[in-house]
Order: sequence, then C-alpha cells, then structure tokens
Amino acid sequence: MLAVVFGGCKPGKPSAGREEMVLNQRLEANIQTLDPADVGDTSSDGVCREFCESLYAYDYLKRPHQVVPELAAAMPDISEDGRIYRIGVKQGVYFHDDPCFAGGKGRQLTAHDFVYAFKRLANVRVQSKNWYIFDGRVVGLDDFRNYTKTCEKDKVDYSRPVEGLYAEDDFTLVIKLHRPWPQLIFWLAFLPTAPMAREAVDYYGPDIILHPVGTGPFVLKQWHRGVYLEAVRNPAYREVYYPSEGAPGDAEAGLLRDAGRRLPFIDRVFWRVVVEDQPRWLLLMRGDIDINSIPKDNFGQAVSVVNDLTDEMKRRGMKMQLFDEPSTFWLGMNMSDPVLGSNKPLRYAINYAIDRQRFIEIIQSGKGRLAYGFVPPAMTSYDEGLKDWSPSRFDLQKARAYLKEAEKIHGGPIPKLRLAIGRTGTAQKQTLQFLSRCLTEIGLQIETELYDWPAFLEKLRTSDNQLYFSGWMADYPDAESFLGTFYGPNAPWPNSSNFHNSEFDAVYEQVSVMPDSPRRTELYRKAERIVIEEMPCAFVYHRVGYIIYHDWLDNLKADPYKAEAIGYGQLRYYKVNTQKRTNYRNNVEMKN
Amino acid sequence: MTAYIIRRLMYLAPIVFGVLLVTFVLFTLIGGDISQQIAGKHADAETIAEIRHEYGFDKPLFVGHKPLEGDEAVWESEKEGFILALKNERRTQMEEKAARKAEKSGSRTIEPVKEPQIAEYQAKKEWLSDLFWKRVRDKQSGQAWEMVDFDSQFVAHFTKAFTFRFGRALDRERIGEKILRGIGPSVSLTIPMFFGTLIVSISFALVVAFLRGTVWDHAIVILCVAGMSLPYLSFIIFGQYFFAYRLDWFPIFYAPDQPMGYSVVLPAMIGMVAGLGSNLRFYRTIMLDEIRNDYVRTAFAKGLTARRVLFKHVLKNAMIPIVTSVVLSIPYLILGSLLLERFFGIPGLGYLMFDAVSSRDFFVLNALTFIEALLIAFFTLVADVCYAWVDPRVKFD
Repeated sequence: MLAVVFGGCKPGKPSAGREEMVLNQRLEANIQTLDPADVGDTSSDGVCREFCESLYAYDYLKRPHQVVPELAAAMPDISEDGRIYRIGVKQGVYFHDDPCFAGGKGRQLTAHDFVYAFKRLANVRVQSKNWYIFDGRVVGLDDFRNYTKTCEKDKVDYSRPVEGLYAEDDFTLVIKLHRPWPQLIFWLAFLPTAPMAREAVDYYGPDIILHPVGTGPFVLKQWHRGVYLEAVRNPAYREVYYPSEGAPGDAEAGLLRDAGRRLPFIDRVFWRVVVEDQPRWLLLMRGDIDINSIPKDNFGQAVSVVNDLTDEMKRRGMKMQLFDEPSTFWLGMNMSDPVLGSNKPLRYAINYAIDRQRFIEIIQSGKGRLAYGFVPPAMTSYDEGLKDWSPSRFDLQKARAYLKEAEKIHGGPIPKLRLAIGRTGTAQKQTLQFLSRCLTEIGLQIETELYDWPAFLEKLRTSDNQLYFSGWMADYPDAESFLGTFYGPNAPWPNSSNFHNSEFDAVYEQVSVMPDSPRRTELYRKAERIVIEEMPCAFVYHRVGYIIYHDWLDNLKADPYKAEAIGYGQLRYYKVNTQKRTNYRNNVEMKN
Repeated sequence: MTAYIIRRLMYLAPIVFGVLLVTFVLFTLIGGDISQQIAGKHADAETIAEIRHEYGFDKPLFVGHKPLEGDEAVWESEKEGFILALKNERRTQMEEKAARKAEKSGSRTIEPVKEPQIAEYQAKKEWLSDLFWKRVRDKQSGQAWEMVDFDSQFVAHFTKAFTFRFGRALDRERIGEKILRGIGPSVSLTIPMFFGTLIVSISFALVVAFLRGTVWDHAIVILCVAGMSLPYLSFIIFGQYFFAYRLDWFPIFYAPDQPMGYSVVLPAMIGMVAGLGSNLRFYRTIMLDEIRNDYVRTAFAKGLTARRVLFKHVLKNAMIPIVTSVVLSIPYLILGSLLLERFFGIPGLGYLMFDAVSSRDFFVLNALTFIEALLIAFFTLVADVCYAWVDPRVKFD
C-alpha cells in the first residue's frame, strides 16, 4: 500500500535513456540556499556554482592557481594607481530560461546585472552573509548601504547611482576603490559576486533561494530539501571548451584527453544528501555514488600504511587523489588573557609541549604535514626556510625549561588553563584529550571544554577563552588571507588570538595594497616570522586532503581550495564512462 | 463521560500554557540570540541588527517600554550623551572586573580593558526604561502606563503557537511546509514498525507466559535482556551493512527514484527487532499477571484449548495496559525515529528534528516541541477514554 501511496512522488529515473551521462554526487550537509548573495557554507556554495558563474574563475588544471576570465571578456584593465578596474563583460551569454523572464526565455547578461548583484550585497535589507567582501572598499557603496537602512524592505531604489560602481555601457563594468586592493580579482572569482537577474529577484521574492537563475552549465530541475537535488545540462550554455594546457603531469594522468572539447560532458547530476558516514561509504562501494571523501572509520579499509589504496580498493578500480590543503590548524592562545598574554615563556612552553608528529599520526590518521608557521605548503609564498628557523616543534626539555621561567614571571604556579574546541564529535574529543595530555605532561593543569560550533564562534568573538584549537583555510591563493587573521584591528575576529603587534600591523598594511611581486613575498615571510616569534598560536599541522572515486569518472583533478567539498562546482569538466559503471554494478563480487 | 472529557480538555489549557512557557524559557532565554549565527561568520553589526529586527529579537522579552509622541525627538537630542555615559559606566564595570580578576589570579598587572561597544538599540532600550521609571516615580502613572508595550517576544511566541504559523526556518523555508512534508515518511516508517513490534511481541509474550519456567522461557528472557542492552545504533549499523550492503536485499539509503515503501522496509524491521526486547518483557509480565488468575484455571478446567484460553480470555483482559501503551505511543509515531531516519535518509520529522538540533534551528525545534506536547496531552486523554471502552469496570466520575 505504501508503495502505491508514495509511488506518486517519484522523480524521473536516473538512468533513463541509453546515451545519457549521469553523475551521482553526494552532499555531506544540507543545502541551505541557492542564492549566491546568501551562500555562506561549503555545500551550498559548491552546488550553486553549477548554476551561477562569476566574472573570473581559476584555471581548472594549472597549478599554482591562475585566475582566468569566466563571464569577463578579458582580465581587468586596472588603472596605474590600482584603484580603478574596468572589466569587459562577455557578450552572447544568456541567463537560464526561466518564467521570470518575458516569454520564459533567458535574456542576455549585461554589466548592469553585476552592478545590481553588488548593490544587492550592500542592501542591508537583503541580510547578505557576504557584505564583508565589499565593506569599506568601493567608493560610494557604503553610502548606498546607509541609504538602504532608511528604506523599507523591497522599496530600495537600485537605480540610485554609486560613484564607484556602474556600467559604463552594457558590457563594461567599472569599479572604483578607496585604495588599491589586489585581492579583488580573487573575490570576483567568488560565487557571491555572481551576477543576478533583477527579474528573478522581483519574481521570486523571498523564494529566490530556491531558484538559482544564473548563466552556468547546469539548470536546477528539482530540489527536495534535505533529500536530493537534480540538475540537467543547460541546453543554451555558451561555447566553453576543455582547457588544452595543464600543469606538469596532467597529460600523463590523462587529464588532457578531452582538450578542446565542448563543455559540459554530463547530461544530468544527482546530489544525494547523505550526512552519516556509513551509508555514504556503502553507497560508494555499491557504485550508487561516484565520489566521496574518506570517512575516518573507513580509512584503514581504503588507504594502506604507505598512503596508497589498499588491494581491495584497487580490485574495485577505485582511484585516489592526495593534495595539500591551503589550511593550517593551531592551538590558539588568547593574548588578551592576563595569564597568557603577558607571559611569552608560557606560550613557548605550550608550543614546545605539543607532539605534532604523533598528533598527525593518531588524530589525523597521517593526513597532515607538520606546521612550522601559518602559511601552508600549498601556497607559493610558503617559506621553506622556516623548517630550520621556526621554534614551532616538539621538545619536552625546552618546554619544561620555559615553564619554569613562566612560573617565575607569573609569580607562582600557572593556574588551571581552559582549552576549548568547537564541535562535539569524537574527533574533537580525541583532539582535546591528546592536547591536554601533552600539556599536563610538562606540568600544566588543563580543563577541556567542548562547544557546538556557533557557541564556539561566540566565545572567540567575545574573547571569552584562554586556549582553543582552531584553524584557518585560505579563501584564495594568496597568503594575505592568512595574514589578516593576525592583524590587530581584526581582533577578536578573524584575529581570534587577539594578537597586537605594531611591527606586524605596519607590514600588513603595506602588503595588503601591493600587487604580487618577489618583494611582497619577502614581506609576507617577514610578517609570518614576527608572528611565530611572538607565538600567539602553537601551529600544529597543515591538513592533507584525500578524495576517492570510481574509475568511471574521468577528468577529475582535485582542487585544494575546495578541500572536502571536492567535486563541488567543477562538474562541467567531469565525464562518466557509463559502461564501466554498469559493469561494476552488475558484478556482484565487486558490489560487495 | 462527556462532562469528563470536557473537564479533561479544560485541564489542557494550563498544560499548554506551561509547555509554551517552558519552550520560551528554553529556546528564547537560555538558547540566546542566534542572529549572529544566521548572519554568518563575517557579519557586521548592521546585518545583525537587521536580522534581529526581522526575527523580532529586538522586541522586549515580556513587556517593554515604547516611546510616546515627542519622546523620539528627545531621544535624538540626548542620544550621543546617553551612549557616552553608558559606555563610561560599562568601562568602569569592566575595569573593576579586570582588577578583581588580576587580584584573584595573583597577577601583578591589570589587563587594559577593551573599548565597550554599545549598539544604539541597546542604549535606546535603557533610555526608555529610565524614562518609564522616572514617570512612575514622578506619579505620571497615566503616561507610564501608555508606554507599556505588549508587543513582546513572549506574545509573539504565543501567537505563533496558537495560530500554527511558525514562520520560516533558518534555511528560510516555511516550517509548516517542512513539518507537513515530514509526516508522511515518518508515519510510513513508524506505523509498520510499531504494529509489527506490537503483534510479534504480544504473540510471543502469550506463548512465553504459557511456557513460563521452561528452558524456552528462560532463553527468550535472556535474549530480550541482551537485545535491550545493545545500543540502538549498533542494530542500525549492523543491519544496514549486512542486509542492505552485503546481502543486497534492501536499499542502503532512501533512493528518490524508488517508492518510499521500498526504502522503509529495512529500517522498520531494524526498529522492530531493536524494540522487541523491552516490549516482549513488558507484555510477558502483563500476561503472567493475568495467567495466574482463577478464571484461567477455570477455563482450562472446562477443557478449552490453550489457544482459545490465551487469545480469547487472557488477551482480552490484558488489554488495559496494552491500550495505554499503544495510545500513548501514537504521538511518538508521528514524530518518527531520529536515528533510523538519519541513517536511512528517510526525510521525515525525526530527520528534521536531528537537523534542527545540529544546526541550532530553535524555530523548528520550538514548533516540533509544541506540536509534540499537544499530541501527548491529547492522546493521554484518548488513552483514559479508551479504558472505559476495554474495561466496563472503569467509570468516569
């Protein structure tokens, strides 16, 4: 009976049609929204990116990452003083067909759609999570934001001119900045700066979050919230081709076989929301999903001790990619805390007490690299020289000696210190246990605290903490993203260790307006050493990402900047060998 | 009977009020202001203020003070001075606190305090409160009374609940829609599971009660205790791995292209097996109480078959506790099963609840808690009425 009752709501069969190329994706968290202005989490960002594009993007294959035009006609024309950006918008790009447009046909994209989208970020009534991108940067945009505060919701006049943001003609966007901002180009490759069709926002009202009307290679077909999403190829997608140049080794890895072919290859995508690890892993093994990260519990089954796939995985024809994430994890010390802030030897003692190698082996199952500073090896400005110079290492003797000195400064034994972490899973509990054992080993007393994520952020924002385990992952391939987390005026967020150092701040202010150059890299490294020397954080490790997928998936190249969200936002390049998948599924031995 | 039902329905009113009060305290007072969380980690004060306004977090908790005509202009002129005074006051407090803290920890240096931040809406609230008490003191009680603002968070909480308009969830979908959509999948999982468990455990309980003291009885009791001692999660993990993955008899996870009925078979069976231990023991005790009665001996003495005695006489008389437990379970059936739904991807209310807990969506939690409380109160009444139906000795006076 149930079959009859619920049979009515069944969607189109995923494997309809013989030639159709279907990709089965997984999502590890619910999709919150598909409105680029509202996106603030990895899963929503990844999925929304298949529907909406930005002015720029990163070259799919080249490493280190290289910005290339996506909806822009070319790289921006930047004035000599670095303050005026003139960006040509590609002609002949159309929005998805949607009832919000006259006749249901998508209209041509123009520079006005970018102006509207950026002003929408600024509109305080929209409550965008992404206003911080342009906050205090674009001439006149902050005034526009102030103006929106006086308006009623939905009564904001978007035609109100903004001095530093306008369309010179239908296909030229002009942005004027208060001061040079070399990272703007990365933000223009960021999903929240995608163009918006005003028609769509007016038509859908608050339900715009359900209707991504973009220019991307896929069109949303249906979305059952919390369960799955289905997208199909955008039939009107402009001519975009697979890159014909890559990084060294790409040709050997077969990543250039489709060079010059028109994108996308896939006809249909299913994203199934599978939050728990076990069912997600079993679905991968069964061949029902094509790609996954490796859950902690299945790590031993998938990866051998030499960081290669196990024989079982090889028999199944699985493939794996390892990559350095642009991330750094650290034990932060609140510099505004009276015990920690004024006691450098104490911070050094804590730093020397952490056995990083064992931490990576035990807690991270080997998925990490030792951190000597905060700039990760995945970035071009990574400082090889730190390895010999940095005090960021495990040394019990030094730790004990520094602790003695610290007690002298403190005028008695160090009081019990609180050590906090965000999220309350097993991994976090183990992390706390490990770190607190390291610290008690040298004679410190530690009280551990687990908070759920919002509560933890709140603690950081109000500086209501002493020691905390946290980290940072770069938003874009520029170490400036990391430096900002130690800049004085950024305290307490994102500078959650409340680090204040005038020398560092001066260097940061200097580099933050400098375009890329060897001199800038040199200054980055100088700034990093100032931080390490003062030790507001004990840097522990840089995470190594793993991705596992079936061999019927071609053209997959891991993008470290997407980390665990691999395969989110780049599906246009992927290809599926459906015959291989059918064979796998029909082979009972493989399946189990 | 009718009088009894009416009386009981009237008792519901204080219960519902109590529930609303408790949910308000839990989700609004203790849960705290989640505007920061909604605004995202990079949010600025303005966005947060906007969100606070939209969700009504800027309203007074119970009752507040609103400006009268002319007050607004006074506020505008006094604003800056008032905020400055408030800041100074706050700074002095912080400095005293820092001094005490330094003294307590034995540190010689007192940490310099940060510049206190006071948002305009906070300052205005304090200013209005001062004004209100000033008017009360100056015996301008008529004016003070006019200032009382009943448009509070507590009133909004009540209105939402009584009109069943719960508004939008954190992901901006209507909560009503979410809940309505979730009932079907939840019920399609829990109803077969519940009746399966009921039929199997009552039948077994009768047999076991009949065989009391034998090896079979002991073996089944031991199995029941073992089943009760195993964590629920281990049944799920094993069942999913073995029956769905290894043997491939059932789908691993709810597949949108297949009917819901197909996806709920395995979780329903796992739920049945996991619940069997405690249920069987419970019903066995009831049956044993019943089977020791004189009428059972008489029935056997009259030469009735064991099947007739057990299913016709014993079962009928054991109905009271069974009906109670069945009726009282109905609200939980609607709410679904948190873990089963999460592991098998059944998009029901249990899944919704789990999601709301992990994303701190107090709006959804509040709605679900309120609905659940109503259902429990209602079905408790139904259970009481059902007594009369199964047992003529029960009278409503």
